[in-house]
Amino acid sequence: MSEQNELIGALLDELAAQVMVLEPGDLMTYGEVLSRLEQLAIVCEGVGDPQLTRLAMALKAQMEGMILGESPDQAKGAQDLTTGVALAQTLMRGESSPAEVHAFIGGLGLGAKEPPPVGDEALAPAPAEEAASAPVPAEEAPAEEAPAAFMETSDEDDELLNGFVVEALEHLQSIEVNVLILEDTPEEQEALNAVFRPFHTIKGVSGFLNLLDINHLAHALENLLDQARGGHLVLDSEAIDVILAGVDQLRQMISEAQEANQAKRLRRKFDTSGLEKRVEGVISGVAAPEQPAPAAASAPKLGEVLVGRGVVDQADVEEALAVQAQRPDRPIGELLVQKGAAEPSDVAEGLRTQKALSQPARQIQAQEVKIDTNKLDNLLDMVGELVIAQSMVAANPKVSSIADRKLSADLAQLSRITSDLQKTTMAMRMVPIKQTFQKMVRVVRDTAKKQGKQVRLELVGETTEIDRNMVEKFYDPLVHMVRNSVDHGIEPTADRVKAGKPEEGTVVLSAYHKGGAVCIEIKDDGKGLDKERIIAKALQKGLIDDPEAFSDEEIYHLIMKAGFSTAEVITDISGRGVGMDVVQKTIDELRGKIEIKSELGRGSTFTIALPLTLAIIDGMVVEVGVERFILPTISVAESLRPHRQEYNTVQGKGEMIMIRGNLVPLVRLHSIVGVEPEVHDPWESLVVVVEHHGQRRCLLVDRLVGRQEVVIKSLGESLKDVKVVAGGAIMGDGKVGLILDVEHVFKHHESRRA
Amino acid sequence: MSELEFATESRKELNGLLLSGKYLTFELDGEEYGLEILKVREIMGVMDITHVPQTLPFVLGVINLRGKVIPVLDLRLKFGLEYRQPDERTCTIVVEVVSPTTGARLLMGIVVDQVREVVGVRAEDIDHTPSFGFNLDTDYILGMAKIDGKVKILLDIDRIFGEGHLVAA
Repeated sequence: MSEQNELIGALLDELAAQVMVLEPGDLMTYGEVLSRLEQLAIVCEGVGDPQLTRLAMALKAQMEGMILGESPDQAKGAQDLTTGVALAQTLMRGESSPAEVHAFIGGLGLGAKEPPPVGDEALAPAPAEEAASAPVPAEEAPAEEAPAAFMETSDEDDELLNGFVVEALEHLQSIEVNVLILEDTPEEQEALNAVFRPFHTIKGVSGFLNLLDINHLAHALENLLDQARGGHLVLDSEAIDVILAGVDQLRQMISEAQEANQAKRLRRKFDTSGLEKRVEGVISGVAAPEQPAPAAASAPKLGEVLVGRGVVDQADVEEALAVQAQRPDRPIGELLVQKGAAEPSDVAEGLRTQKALSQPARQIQAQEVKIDTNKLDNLLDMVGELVIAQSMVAANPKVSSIADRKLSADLAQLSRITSDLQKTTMAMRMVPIKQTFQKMVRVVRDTAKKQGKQVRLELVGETTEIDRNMVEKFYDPLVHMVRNSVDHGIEPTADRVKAGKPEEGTVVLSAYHKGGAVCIEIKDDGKGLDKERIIAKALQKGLIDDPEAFSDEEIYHLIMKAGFSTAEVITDISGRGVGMDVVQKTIDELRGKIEIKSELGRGSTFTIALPLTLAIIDGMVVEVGVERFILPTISVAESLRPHRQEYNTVQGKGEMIMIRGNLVPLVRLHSIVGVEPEVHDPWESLVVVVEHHGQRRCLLVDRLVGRQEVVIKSLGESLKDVKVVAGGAIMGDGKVGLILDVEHVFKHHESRRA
Repeated sequence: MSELEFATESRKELNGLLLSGKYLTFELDGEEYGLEILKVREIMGVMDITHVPQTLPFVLGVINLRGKVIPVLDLRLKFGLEYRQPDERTCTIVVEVVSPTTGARLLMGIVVDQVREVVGVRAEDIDHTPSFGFNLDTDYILGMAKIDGKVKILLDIDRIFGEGHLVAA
C-alpha cells in the first residue's frame, strides 16, 4: 500500500516538474505527460482511491484533448494541468477535499464525461474561483518539502539556480532604473512594462526552482504593477518606495539562495509578510478613488504645438476645435489647412514635432554581446602582436629598400588597418558610464530621504565611455563621494532657506573627456568645505604643523588622508564603511588624480581625472644599461643632467641633488633593478625627477628614450611579488619592457638606506 | 612471493601504468630528461629575455610569447648546474604547470641545452625512483625510464615550478 503511495507520489512529482515547463504545442512532452498520467490513473485505480483516480482520468482526458487539438486554448490547458497535478499532490496528503477535485474537474469543461455527483448545483459556481485559488495550495504544499529538496540539488539544478541568480540580479537592476523613471513619469507605459516584465520572470522562475518566498514577494509586486499597468493605480512615492524595498529584499533573498546553494546548506527563510502587507496596502488604495491620470503627461496637442511654433494663434485653434466638435472624424490639422490658417507643410512639421515630443527620449540601447573578458584580452594581445609584426616587416631594411610603389602603398594600407584594429579592440573594453551613474540616482534618493533633505541629482555626460574594469573599481568610491555630497554637502532644508538658497539641493554628477583623461565631477550647491575646521582637525591630529604653508587646495586634500574622518569634522554621521582615504587609494590604483574646489556656503566640486583605460599607460621610457624601463608619465616631473657641484652627500641622508635650491634624494635605479649601468656619476648621466604623493626623488638613468603609450601586461601570478615592477609592456621591437612602480621604488630605496 | 614483495610489485606496476605515455625528452649537462608531453605548449629557440629584478638566480627574466608576458627559467641553474651560454641548440620549452596545492595554472618557459625527441614510455620501461641517499632530493623525479638501454629521468615539472616561487625573499 505505502509502496503504491510512494509510486504515486513519485509520479506526481515528475509530472509536476514536467507540466511546469510544458510549452504549448510541444508534442514530445505532451506524449510523455500523457503516458505518465496513464500510469498514474492505473496505479490510483489499483490503490482504490476514487478521488485520485477520477482526477487522473480527467487530467488524462484533458491531455488527450490537447494532443488532438480539441482544446482550443493550449496555454490554458497547460495551466489547468499544472493546477490539476498540484491538486493531486495536496490530495495525496489529504489536504484537499473531494469537493475541490470535483470543482476542478468541472472547471476543465470535461464534466460531461463525469457522472454528476450530488450537490452539483451547490458546487457549480466554484470552478471559476477554484481556478484562481487552486494554485495557492499548490504553492504552499511544496514549501514544506523545500528544505529537503535543497539539500540534494543536482548539478543541473545548480546550473539552473546560478542562471536564475545572475539573470534575476540583472533584472532587479533594470527594475531599479526604470522605477526611478516611473517616479518622474508614472504613466510611462514602456517603463511600467519594463518593471512589470522582470518581476514576472523572477516570479515564474523562482516558482519553478521552489524558491517560494521569492516567488511570493515577486508575485505581490507583479500584482501591484499590473494594477498600475491597467491604469487602476498611479504609482506615487509610497508605491515606488515599496517597490524599491521589494527590490532590495529580493536581492538579499536571491543572494542568500545562491550562497546557501554554494555552501550546500539550508536556505535561510525571509519574512516578507511586512513588505507584502505594504504592497497590499498600496494596492487596496485602489479602492479609494484615485485621481484620473492628468493627460498632460501624454503628447502635447497638435494645436498647442502649432501655437507654440507661432504658425497659428490660439483663436484659430479654438475655432478649428469647435468645428471638430461637430465633425469628430476630421483631424485638426486638416481643418486648419482648410481654414487657411496654416500651410500643409507647417502641419506636417507640427505633426513631426508632436511625434518627437510624445516619444520621450527613448534610451537607445546599442546592441550588445556579452564576451568573456579573457577572450577580449587575448584578442588585445594578438592585435598588439600584429601591430609589432607589421611594423617589423615595414622596418625590415630589405623590404624598405625595395622601390616599388605598389608595395609601399600596400604596406601603408596594412599599417592603417592594423592601427584601426587596435583602436577598435581597445574600444571594446569601454562601456558608457551611464549604468554607474544611474545607480547613483538611488543612492542620492535614499540618502536624502533618510536625512529628510530634498536633493535633486543631475546627470551629465552619461554616454562618456570608460574602461570596464575601471567602472567596477570606481563604483564604491563614487557611491561614497556622492553620499558625502548629500550627507555633508547639502544642508538641511531649513538651513538652506535661511541662507536664501532653493529648498531643493542639487548634486551634479558629470563625466567628460579632457586631455586624454576621463573626468568625473561631483558638484553640490551645499555649504562647502569648512577650511578652518579642517585646519583645526589636522592640527589636532598632527597632520600639519603650519597651516600658513598650505594652499586652499592642499588644505582640502587633507580630508583624503587616512585617519581624517570627514564624518567627525563636518557632521556626526559615520559608519560609512569607506572613508575618503579609501577613495584616494582607489584613485591612486587607477592612476588618477583628484581635485577639490570649494567655496564656503556655495558648495564643493570634486573632480576626479582618470586615465582613459587601465590597459594602456602613458609612459616615459628610460634605459639603464641594456634594459629599458617605463615610468608612468603622470609621476615624472622633469629630467635633467645635474652639475657636479649640485651633487651632495648629506651625512645620514645619502646622496642628494640640488634642484633649484631644494635637495632631492638620489635613487640609483641600476642598483634597485640590478643592472650594470653605463655611467655611475650623475653629472655624466641623467636624472629623472619623479614625484609620488608629494615626495620627490631623482632617479639616475643612462638615457631617456622618449614618451610612449604602452599596453600593460601582467607579469603573471609567479612574479606578482616583485614589488618594484608594476607590469610589463611589449615594446616596439617585440621585447618586454618593465613598468616601474614608483611608490615601491621609493620604498625599496628607503629600506636599503636604512 | 611474500606478501610484502607482492605489495611492492603491485605498487610498482601501478606506478608504471600511471607514468606510461608520451614524453618530450631533452638534454641537460649530458643527462637525458623527460617531460610529460601534455604539459608542453611549444618549443622555441632562445628569445630576447628581459631581466626582472628581485627574482631568484634561476629566473632568467620574462619574454613576450605572442603578446603574453611569461617568465623564463634556467633548468641548469635550478638543478645547481653551471650556467651555460646559449647556442643554436639551446631551446626554450614552454610548459603549463599546475600548482600542486592551489591548482592554479601557470605558463613558463624552461631553458634546456637541447631538445631530443618524443618517446612513448611503456609501463614496463619504468623503474621507480631509486633512493640516491640523503643528499639528493628525488621529489622532482617521477621515475626513471629505460629505453634502448638508456636511462631517461622523468621530471615532475609541477613539483619543480608549480608553486611559482620565483621571487627572492
